[in-house]
Amino acid sequence: MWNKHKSHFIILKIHHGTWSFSFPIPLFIFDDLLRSLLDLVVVGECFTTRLKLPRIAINTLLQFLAELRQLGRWQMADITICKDQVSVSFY
Amino acid sequence: MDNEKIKILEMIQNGTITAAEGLELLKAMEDHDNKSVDASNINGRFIRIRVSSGEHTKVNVNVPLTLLKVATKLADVGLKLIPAEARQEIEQKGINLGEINFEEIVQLIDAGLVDGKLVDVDTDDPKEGRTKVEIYVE
Repeated sequence: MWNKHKSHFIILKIHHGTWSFSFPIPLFIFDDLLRSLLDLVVVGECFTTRLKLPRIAINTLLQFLAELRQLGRWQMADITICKDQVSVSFY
Repeated sequence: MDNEKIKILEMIQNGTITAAEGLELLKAMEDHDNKSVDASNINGRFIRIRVSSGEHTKVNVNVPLTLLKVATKLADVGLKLIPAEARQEIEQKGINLGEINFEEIVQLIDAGLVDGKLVDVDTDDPKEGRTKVEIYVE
């Protein structure tokens, strides 16, 4: 499962006082979820025209994820307020 | 990098390596330089948001311009999803959502017309201390 796509993770780090938490989220989870949703929406479009905008939105989100993967390693956000720290990075 | 080239030339002069070996080393170094330049091109430019308030608050957000271009498409879709009633309310306040062209804004930044600092605010409050907000393209 981990080798399904080239490894790209969102690393979420949270520091709160002495408590620290790091959570890696694989990007392909979102990728697979959106692709499955897109399939459902495409099927749904046969019955209603109201799903056109969601289809465009999902396609754009997939494009967004593809762009994220091309960027490689980078830090998106690092927010420190007093002793609390939240950082979001891509690997 | 120039120091390393000089060292290679000195090694040739001292007879530590042959001229052919030195040439190969120099070529390898040049290839390495070219690859480094390509890598920086891939990374592209970032919109950097820096906020510091007093001694304890620091915000550091980096958004690649390539990502922002895709995000503009999402923003366009998002605008279309706003209910008609809410849209009318906003328009009554003098904001025409249809006229907002996100792509044009990103294109202007990308073309370098708005290069450098986009926002630079520096305030000094006796209670909260110094607050500095910077948004720039790098």
